Amino acid sequence: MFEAVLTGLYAVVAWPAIGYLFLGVFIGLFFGAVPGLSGLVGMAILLPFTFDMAPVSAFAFLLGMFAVTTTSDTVASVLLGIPGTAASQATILDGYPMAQRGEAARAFGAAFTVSAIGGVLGAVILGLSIPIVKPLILNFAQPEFFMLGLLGLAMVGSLSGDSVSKGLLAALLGLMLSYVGYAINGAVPRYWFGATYLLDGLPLIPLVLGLFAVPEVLELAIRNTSISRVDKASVDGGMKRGIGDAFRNWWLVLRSTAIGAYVGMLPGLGGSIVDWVAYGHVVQSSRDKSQFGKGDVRGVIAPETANNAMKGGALIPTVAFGIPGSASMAILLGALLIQGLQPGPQMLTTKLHITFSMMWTLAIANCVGALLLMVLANQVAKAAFIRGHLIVPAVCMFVFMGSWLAGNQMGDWTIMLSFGVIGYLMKQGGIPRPPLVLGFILGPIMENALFITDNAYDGLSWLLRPMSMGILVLIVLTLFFASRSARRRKTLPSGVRLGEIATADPTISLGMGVLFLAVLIYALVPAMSWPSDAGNIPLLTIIPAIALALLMIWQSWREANKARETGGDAFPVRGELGPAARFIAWLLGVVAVTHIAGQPVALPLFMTLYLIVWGKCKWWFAITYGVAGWVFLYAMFDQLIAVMWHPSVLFF
Amino acid sequence: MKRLISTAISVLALAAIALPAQAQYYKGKRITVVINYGAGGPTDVEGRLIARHLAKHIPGKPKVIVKNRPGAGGIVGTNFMGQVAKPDGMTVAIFTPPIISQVLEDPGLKVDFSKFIWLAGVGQPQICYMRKDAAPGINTVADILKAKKFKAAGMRNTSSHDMRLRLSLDLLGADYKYVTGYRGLAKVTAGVLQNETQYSCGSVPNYRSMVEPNLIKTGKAITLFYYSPTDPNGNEIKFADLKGIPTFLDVYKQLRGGAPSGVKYDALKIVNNLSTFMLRGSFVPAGTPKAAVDALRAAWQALPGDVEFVGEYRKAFKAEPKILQSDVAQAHVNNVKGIDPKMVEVLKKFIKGS
Repeated sequence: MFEAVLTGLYAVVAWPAIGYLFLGVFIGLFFGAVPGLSGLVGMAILLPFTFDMAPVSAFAFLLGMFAVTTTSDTVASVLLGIPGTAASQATILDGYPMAQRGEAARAFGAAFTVSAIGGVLGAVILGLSIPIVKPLILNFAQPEFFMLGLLGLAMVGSLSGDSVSKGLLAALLGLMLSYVGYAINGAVPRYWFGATYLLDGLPLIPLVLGLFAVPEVLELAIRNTSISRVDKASVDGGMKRGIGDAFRNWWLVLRSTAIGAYVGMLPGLGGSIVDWVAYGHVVQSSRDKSQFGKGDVRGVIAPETANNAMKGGALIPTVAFGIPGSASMAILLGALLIQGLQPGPQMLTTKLHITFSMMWTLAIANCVGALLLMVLANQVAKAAFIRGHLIVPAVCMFVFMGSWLAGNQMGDWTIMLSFGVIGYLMKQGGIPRPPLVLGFILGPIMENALFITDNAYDGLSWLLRPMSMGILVLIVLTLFFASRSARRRKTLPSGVRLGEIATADPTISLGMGVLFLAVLIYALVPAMSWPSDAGNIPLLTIIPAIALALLMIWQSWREANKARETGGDAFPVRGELGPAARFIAWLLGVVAVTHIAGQPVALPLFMTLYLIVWGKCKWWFAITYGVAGWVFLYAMFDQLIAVMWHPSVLFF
Repeated sequence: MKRLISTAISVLALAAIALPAQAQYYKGKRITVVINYGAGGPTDVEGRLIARHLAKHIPGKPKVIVKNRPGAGGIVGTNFMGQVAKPDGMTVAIFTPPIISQVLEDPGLKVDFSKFIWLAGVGQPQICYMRKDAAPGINTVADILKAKKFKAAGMRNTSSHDMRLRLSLDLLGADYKYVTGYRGLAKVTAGVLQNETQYSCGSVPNYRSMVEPNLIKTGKAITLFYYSPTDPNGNEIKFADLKGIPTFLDVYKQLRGGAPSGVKYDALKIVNNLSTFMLRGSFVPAGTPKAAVDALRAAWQALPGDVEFVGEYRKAFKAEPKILQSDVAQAHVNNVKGIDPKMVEVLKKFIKGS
């Protein structure tokens, strides 16, 4: 085995493999940093280039690219509050508040360091655990997937700040959103309103971009602050402080690595959930929770470690069993076959050196990627101090294009903008958004697993499977610790509040409660007429959700009254709603112009006009900005990714 | 000298005029190949491979780029080709065409497949396999009738995978439990590997890359049969690269004596012919100019003889490319409209009654 380790290393550091590895890393850093692009898009674009390469070079190229997208995705997550890829959604929760405090460089330092450590250790864990992964993967069947989903939902408590009931409601609404489209058995389309687009369900990236990015851009636009709310001079210790944070929290880094590597190993979970699991874990296991959601560096360290460590784990089922856990891994599987390699047991025996060369590639790419980013990041972090109006147009372009990449159609924008409005109101109303995303991601995994489990096992016998029982214990422990810390929180002095809840506007919260209630009742009606295998799970979700919505209405009503009685303001956000609506109207304008003339006209036009009207910039500056935007759109999206533009009236 | 040059020029000019119109048609143009599933899936990987080689054979050497239009089991892309794409020969579909959705009258599908101009079809048969440790022990294909309540894994009620799986097992009279919901053939194979289910079927690439190394060669499962399609006269078509594996008809005759018949067998034939021959299909919107259609069809015809393409395809999918030319592909699609409405009702009931 040791010989295979060395042979694998020699193969990777030899020319031309090492050259391809570096090239892959450069491309990967770029694909990770641009929101909406991801390792998957990169893999699909790079795959044809590998057909003529030798196996080690081909995997050095593909995996070099794949390894670092979750390192550079931190840039957008921290700086803009936009997830660079689906695997860095949780990074926003503390990363963006850090940037708002002027600590973007610190967050980068910590994130890049732990990304490298997580990536390398993840590969090591992968190497060490090769003898034991077989039973793990073979025993992790559908019942375990269902239980793991439940464990994820149990973490809602730690993602909800101090309003667990609002968090639970958000999680249930997330589940409801995941039911849109064909039911598991394929016979009944649910909540599709006659739109073919909805038959496949809602797309994740437009939903997340809407929920998290639009509210942040909106605030930048209407308040014209820089991302950092403080002066550059008042911030001390940049990247170095972050690197120090990473090493000070070495125990957390190790635990997050383990979470990443093992969650990554489970086919079908991977990327979109691992960051949430790691984040939930750090909040739950920390004694002092007061800073989470306000810029606690540990909230950046945990997900950023795990999302790089995951990549090593994801390789295992693909290489060892030919079972790809994600679309990216399906492409890697294709590459294996094209190289004449048969995934399966021999990849762990006679072809073990190739498997090890893949691990070395991951390890080297992670280190190189992190170092490169550290060199660049001090400059990038300065963007946090630029005034908001100069950033908004570029960010809007990324949000629009990032959503568009989901399906290249107007539905993607409709989803993004709708959830943009919902996300803004949820934020103002103090309703935590992370549980909604978690519910949305876990919904299909859980419903699917439960559906199969129910058919494939007799009664509840599956609960007695050893791994299911193990996860059940974890669920019970999670709930126990969550309720204990909830009790503790009640003893905090009044006025001390956690995370997003701090800004809750009771009137908005009341309005959202009424809206949710109406939607739930509307959703209840068709669910009652569906066959049981399509309707039972939605019903099980709706009924508790209605109760929680009623509770939220009552609580908000009481809070609003209390605010009025004590002479406070029950509707503090009132003054902001006008400008917010105006900004949303501008975004709708982009949609309208796209219908007529396509994105290459609409987006640069928006950028230019925004800078003139909102930013009060000089016209020559605004036009230069717009032209630069057009060049980027053309080079990046038209030429490189060959995106399918909207078939507009004028230019199609 | 001057005369020589002027002669050369006029010869060249004449040659240019005499060249078929198709050569002119795509000169300096850009073809967009649309794929109706997302990047990285089996349709995408196969579609991109074909698109790259197709380009070589189109006169005028146009630039070919690939774009994905995923959604609703391939229906979103299909609607796009029928309702939005311009019939100018610059937008070409390489799809996993959801033709079964048309048979089942899916509410999301807004276009009629037979209205497209078909260029070709690419087929792959499915192979069925079963775990050996399913009680009372499966060592030959005949043992399948002795097994009680074994679990057969599917993906979706409405998928052709599931319809064929159930129709064939029903015809054999096997005692099985249908467990559906696995997302993709990889998950199906994983379920059998975990002994969560004991029986399923997969495409040739799935069989060669996952089932064979992990289940067959390790002695955990045996290969049972593949579904053979039939020609227009109803004769069975066997595939040379699957030599050694019996067909479903072989097995039926061996176990039940005589050929199968009845409404379930007719349904199996329809579903299987469509999914085997037209697993992937290529077409352009109605109204596309003849010059473009001819050029594209000629390019498809050149593919089976393209050694480089065949070699790469074999490497990637562990199977021979089975390309159906335009007239046969069009005939298969047109046949869908001729399906007896009673048969459609049978299929619909069959799906609902699960």
